[in-house]
Amino acid sequence: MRKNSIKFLFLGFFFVFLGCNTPEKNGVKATNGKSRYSQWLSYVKTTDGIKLFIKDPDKKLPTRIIWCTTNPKYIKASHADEVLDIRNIKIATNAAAHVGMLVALDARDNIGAVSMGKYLYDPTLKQRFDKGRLLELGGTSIPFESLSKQHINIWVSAGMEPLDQSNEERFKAIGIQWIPNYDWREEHPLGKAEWILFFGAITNRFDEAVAQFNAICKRYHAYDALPKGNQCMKILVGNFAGDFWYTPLQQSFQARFFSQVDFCTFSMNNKGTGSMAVGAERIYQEAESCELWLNPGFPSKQAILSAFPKAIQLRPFNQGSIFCYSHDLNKFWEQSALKPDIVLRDLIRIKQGNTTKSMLYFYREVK
Amino acid sequence: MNRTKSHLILLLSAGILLLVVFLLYLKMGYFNTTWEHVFQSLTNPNDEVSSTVVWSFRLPRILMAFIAGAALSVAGMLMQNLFQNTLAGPDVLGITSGSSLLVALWMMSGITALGSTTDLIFLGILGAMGMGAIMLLFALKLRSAVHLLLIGLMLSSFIGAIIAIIQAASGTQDLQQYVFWNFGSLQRVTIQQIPWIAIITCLGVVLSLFQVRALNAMVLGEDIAKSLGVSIRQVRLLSILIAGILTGTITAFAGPIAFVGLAIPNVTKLLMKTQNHGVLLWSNILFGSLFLGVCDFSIKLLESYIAIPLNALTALLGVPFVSWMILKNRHVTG
Repeated sequence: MRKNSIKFLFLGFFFVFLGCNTPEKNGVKATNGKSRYSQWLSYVKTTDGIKLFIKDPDKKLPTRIIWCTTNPKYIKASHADEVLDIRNIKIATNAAAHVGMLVALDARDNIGAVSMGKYLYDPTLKQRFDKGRLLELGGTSIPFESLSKQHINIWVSAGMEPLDQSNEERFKAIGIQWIPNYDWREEHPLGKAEWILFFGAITNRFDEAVAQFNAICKRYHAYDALPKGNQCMKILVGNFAGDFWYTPLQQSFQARFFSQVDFCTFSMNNKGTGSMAVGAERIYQEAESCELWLNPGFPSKQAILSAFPKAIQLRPFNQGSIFCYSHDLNKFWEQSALKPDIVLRDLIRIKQGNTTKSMLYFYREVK
Repeated sequence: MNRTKSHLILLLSAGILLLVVFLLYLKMGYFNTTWEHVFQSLTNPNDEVSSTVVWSFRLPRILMAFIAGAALSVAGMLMQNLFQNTLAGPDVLGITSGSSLLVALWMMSGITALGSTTDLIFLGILGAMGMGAIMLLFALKLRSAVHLLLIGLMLSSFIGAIIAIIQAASGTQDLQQYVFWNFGSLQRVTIQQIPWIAIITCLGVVLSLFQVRALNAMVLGEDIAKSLGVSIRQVRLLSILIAGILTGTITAFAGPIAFVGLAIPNVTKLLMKTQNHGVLLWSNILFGSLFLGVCDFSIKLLESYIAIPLNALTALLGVPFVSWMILKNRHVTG
């Protein structure tokens, strides 16, 4: 009898212990999610919605757990979770890549405010902006009053600005949830594209987002499997800003593309996710062994020379070729995050010499 | 040792240092060059890599550093004499901002009238002179040096605001061109542009030489200067014209360069301990050239370890000095 009591007591403790650790209906652990390529976003699909886990790359903020649902009443969220009612979402965003992802999901109506609206690429949104139906966020301070008037309920931030306590309280006071989006910190091109699932979750288009992302991955891997020609073709990347030339480091987003295509730059031997600054003499010397120059940041040779007259001394300027996406920068910034497959395809075609206007989507030869 | 002798020794030392910096600058850098390469590149430039590095990259950059240092220092000296204020300088009084405004308008409007180089020089000078004239009008009304400096700072902010509005309205490419120019760089100048910049700077220096007597008289105060037969109106106009030419030309080609025009004329006064503008003019030319040459040489030597923008280095060296000078203002002559 006494033995049985101890058994029941033990079992009772066991179930209480289990219950404390799995508050959700579907038995999904509150700290885990999955992702395929993203380092900073993971997600779990439950019957009541999508649970997003957003990690801070700088580890300054705790992981945000956001439960996106159309049934907020039925969610039994744990203390750390935030419930986001996605039935009537109006988003303010300060990044072109976010706009591109929302456009791809046909969620234009969910966009209420953008930053630097004059640089919008999507014609429908541009028209809305010109007619004053989209709020301009500006670049310096957060327009709390206008956000409230526009019925914005989510501020999707590129996460560059620190959210201080006073702003956090102001956001809360007007019913806006500040959600960071770290797509720009991703190193893998598909990791960046995977953030479409974030937008799918908050706009109630998750399945559509999954389908699009799967298609992107499939195309990306198909292009990646194509023969790309000679290994380690040395190229020049970047341009001068002031006295220094800025070129991407080994683990940067751009460099990842270049290594996929077997392009080599001298800076790709240096570890890091940003870019490195080098002097003019080194660039001149490195350029002597290059015939291709990518991403000078200008759409014409004349514009390059105006900014940096000594470009005329660089070998690819005179004897090689230059390619850039600068002829339509707005298109590139808005769409490239979600079209890494197309960026990869453009680079492969540039390497293979298939560079007619119709063969390239983002890039164009700089003449 | 009499004062003239000490002046000569200081000027000679600066001249020798300038030559040393010049030669070392041509010899040292990322690309290994021998003295033979340097000599060959200077006497007979060809298509070889070493020759291109020396002739197209190192030579125009160090020459531009020397010219810009000299021009901005002389402009600063004239401004300090004109406003009778040791804290006056092309960037403090908004002269550089005036130049930046017209260059920004030109870059972001995309309109070219006389050809890009001519437009750039003309507008750079016009903007600098325009702001100089506005500041002079204020100087005629305001006697307080503090008030005048405040006006200068406010006008600089005002122009900054106008430029910000122009930026907001401009296209991506034009904006990019302006942003790159605004970084300030000696690297951008080509060997073909150097003679133009040198000629205009020499013109400014020659005009300043003709002003020496009047500038010396101005130090004694306007009333005494008048009694000595100096035309105050002419001195003011010429000072603004020269400062505008010098600052505008340098700003147009190299972008805004901070603190040289403010710090060097004061350093020069401290070192030379004189108010003779004949001595101060040559001292400013030499010390200004030396300062910017050494700054740029340091940037070049350190570039494998750290990328220091030119304006960051001039400010790093200039700000502590100017702060110290404000605190010890009584010790500075003028």
